[in-house]
Amino acid sequence: MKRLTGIFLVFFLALGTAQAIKLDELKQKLSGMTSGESGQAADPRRMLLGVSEEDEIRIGQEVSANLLGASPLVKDEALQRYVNTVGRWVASQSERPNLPWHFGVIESSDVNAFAAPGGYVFLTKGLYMKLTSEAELAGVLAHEVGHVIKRHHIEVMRKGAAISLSESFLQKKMQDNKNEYIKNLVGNGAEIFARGLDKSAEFEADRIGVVLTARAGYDPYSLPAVLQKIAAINPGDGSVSLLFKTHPHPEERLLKLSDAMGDSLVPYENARGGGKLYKLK
Amino acid sequence: MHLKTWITGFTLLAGLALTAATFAESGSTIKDTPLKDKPFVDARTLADLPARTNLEIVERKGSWMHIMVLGKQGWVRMLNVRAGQARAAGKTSVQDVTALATGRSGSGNIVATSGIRGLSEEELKSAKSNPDELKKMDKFAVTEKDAGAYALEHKLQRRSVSYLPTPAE
Repeated sequence: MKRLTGIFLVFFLALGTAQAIKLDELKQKLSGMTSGESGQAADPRRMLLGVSEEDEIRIGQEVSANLLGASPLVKDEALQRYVNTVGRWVASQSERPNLPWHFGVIESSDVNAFAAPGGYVFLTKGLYMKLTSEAELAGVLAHEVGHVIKRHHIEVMRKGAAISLSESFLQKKMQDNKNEYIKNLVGNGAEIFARGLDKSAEFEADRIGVVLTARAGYDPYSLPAVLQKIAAINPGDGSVSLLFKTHPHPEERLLKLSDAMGDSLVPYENARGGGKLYKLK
Repeated sequence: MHLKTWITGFTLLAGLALTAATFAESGSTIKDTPLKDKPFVDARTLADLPARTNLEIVERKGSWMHIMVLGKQGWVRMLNVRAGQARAAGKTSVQDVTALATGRSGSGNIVATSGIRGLSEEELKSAKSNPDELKKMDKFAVTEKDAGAYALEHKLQRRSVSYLPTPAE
């Protein structure tokens, strides 16, 4: 019976992640069922679906501390404050404005950006140096905010955890094992950024990114402009190897974005507001 | 007089060519697209550019890209352009970073001359937690209110924009 539950669980999650819309519906149906409070919580399916916002933030902190272990923050307080200001303004346009949003520029010449659950967003100094306007910064951050609000990394972690859950782990009474469960989800921390997300999650974050940028009063074409710059980098260039490995090629992203946008965001292209992009010291 | 006009014209053209050669980035069209006189849908069409037309990018403005193509200047929709088509082979990342720091990117005076550090798969996998660095992030966090004040100060107006539908696969 337990084995059957395990198999069903894996199948259920595989089905769910392949069809995000259906999973969303299920989540809605299951929402309100919090884990650890009743005997029902022993059902592993409900445990896996029940990653609360609090859990998300905790997972995000663990993953972020790990990422910062690989690349610390750039030592420039004015830069960090600036990126937090623009990022928070963009995140305020989303349906999760009250997450504890944190943004950071990390010390790396790679061109990349990362989102961790619960509102932690990072971009590398290498990517920051490619930006030429505040709108472009907003566009990059908006893409990452998209990952956070859609809980894309939680989805991947859940999928990974479901596959790696051992029979003995499943046999434990899970309501007593929230900590272990979180640990299992977090896995090797920043490794999640080496694996990347589904292509569809990246396309979705791009679609959300341009909209949040437009809502924030910036030119929505700034994110595509950054993608064009990245597309123009030689794929053999070491600074983009991880980005290219973990994301669809920027040209593919631009084509998808072009299809999705059509002319619908053209009315927002003339955006005069915004400050000057902070210059790195 | 006639000669002077010619010379002026020639100088102008040479100047433009030089600008294109110095600052512009190469690109090409990814689909058939009209070359417009100005960055507006109802502007005059100068030419119909077929897909895979090579061009030089001058600048971007909203959804439009100012380009030079076959000696003409004009505007095309930026999403119909692929940048960096004719990039020089064998450029190293250090040269790229230097070019960006000193060239058209305008982000200025940063040249990563030493301590270049990547962020590889291996580094991510073997990363050790740095909770102190995480705590610093709390210090830099900005409230929604303060972000709103910044937006007001810099004339960023909230706009109501619907999410884009998920395209059919």
